[in-house]
Amino acid sequence: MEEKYRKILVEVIFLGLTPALAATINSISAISMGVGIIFIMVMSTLTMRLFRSFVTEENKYFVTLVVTTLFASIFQMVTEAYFLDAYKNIGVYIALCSVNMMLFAVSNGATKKEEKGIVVKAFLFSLAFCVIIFIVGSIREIMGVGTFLGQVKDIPVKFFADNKVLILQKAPGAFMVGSIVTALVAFVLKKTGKNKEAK
Amino acid sequence: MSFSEMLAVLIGCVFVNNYVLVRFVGFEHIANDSKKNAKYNAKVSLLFTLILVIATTITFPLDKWVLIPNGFEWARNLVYVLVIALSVFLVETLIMKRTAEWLKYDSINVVLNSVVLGTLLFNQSYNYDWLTSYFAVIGTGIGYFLVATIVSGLRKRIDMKAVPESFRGVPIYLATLTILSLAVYAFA
Repeated sequence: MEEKYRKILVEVIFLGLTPALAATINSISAISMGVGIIFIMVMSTLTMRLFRSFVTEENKYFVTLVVTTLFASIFQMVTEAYFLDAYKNIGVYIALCSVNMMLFAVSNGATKKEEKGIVVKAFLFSLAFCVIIFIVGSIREIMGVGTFLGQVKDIPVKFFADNKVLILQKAPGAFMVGSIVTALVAFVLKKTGKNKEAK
Repeated sequence: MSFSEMLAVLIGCVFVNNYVLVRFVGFEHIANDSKKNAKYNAKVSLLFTLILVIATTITFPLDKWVLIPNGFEWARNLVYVLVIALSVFLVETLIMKRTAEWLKYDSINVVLNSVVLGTLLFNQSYNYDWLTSYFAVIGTGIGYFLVATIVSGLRKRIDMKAVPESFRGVPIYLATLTILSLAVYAFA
């Protein structure tokens, strides 16, 4: 990953956290939201890239907003139709992806002619984001409920099933785990950056 | 809903059910903007409240008499986003430019603030009636101001302290929000 993208990744994660933190109540909801973000980001970036010649400086924000909202609505409808359990947890937050700063910034960047490989970058950004919110969701579910992949496999984690950290299932827990995971991401990115510079 | 229930909704939106700290909407803007003072936060909160009041006035009847009876719920997100953009445009042209230039704020930041769309969507999902929605909107405005002012005060103090390198920036602001959220959780 290029240095400038490594530096802004933590900031980008933060900008994208609004719908994601709420979805990290368990690992399945987190991965559903992560897949949603990959779909919305890649599709809206691709659409903006394909139609960039029609987008002017005056209307680019408006067009980006409409395109992002359309794909968020499509994903919301698909989730409601086929994954009702996940939809009950993250329904409103998928709609909020329409005004997600991270999605908006990347899709809006696709209209710039000098940006090369923006769709691949969008995919990698959203994939990294998906992994991070999956980690947050897994930690909250394992420590807060005592299970892993609860709605699909329901793997019990005995120690935490007997000693639940209930606050992790509430809003403060989301901020707390989010804070620790973003700090870890910042630490890892910094270390890998230093190693590359040393080589 | 009776008046006392509406008042409970308003107070709930300020403390117990604060959309920023409980529903995770708009906190990234608060952390980005929080180097500003209380006056600035009051201006932004007033602007959001104004836009939300206009947006609620338009979206509630649209939802009740157009989208739901005709089965157009699938278009709700798009309609809401367009109404927010229209409300921002109305506030910009009718109020900011004519009477209140001091209210000037980057319009794209208002549209992209998830607290605006989030409040409309949550009000709809809680099935609030028209009048209660206004109480919720005003409560959200006050709640936003409260959190923004507390975070900006805390941020000034945090920036003066030696924070571990990995926690500098985003992680420490999230940790701050954890404590604030815990405080609000105690009200529930």
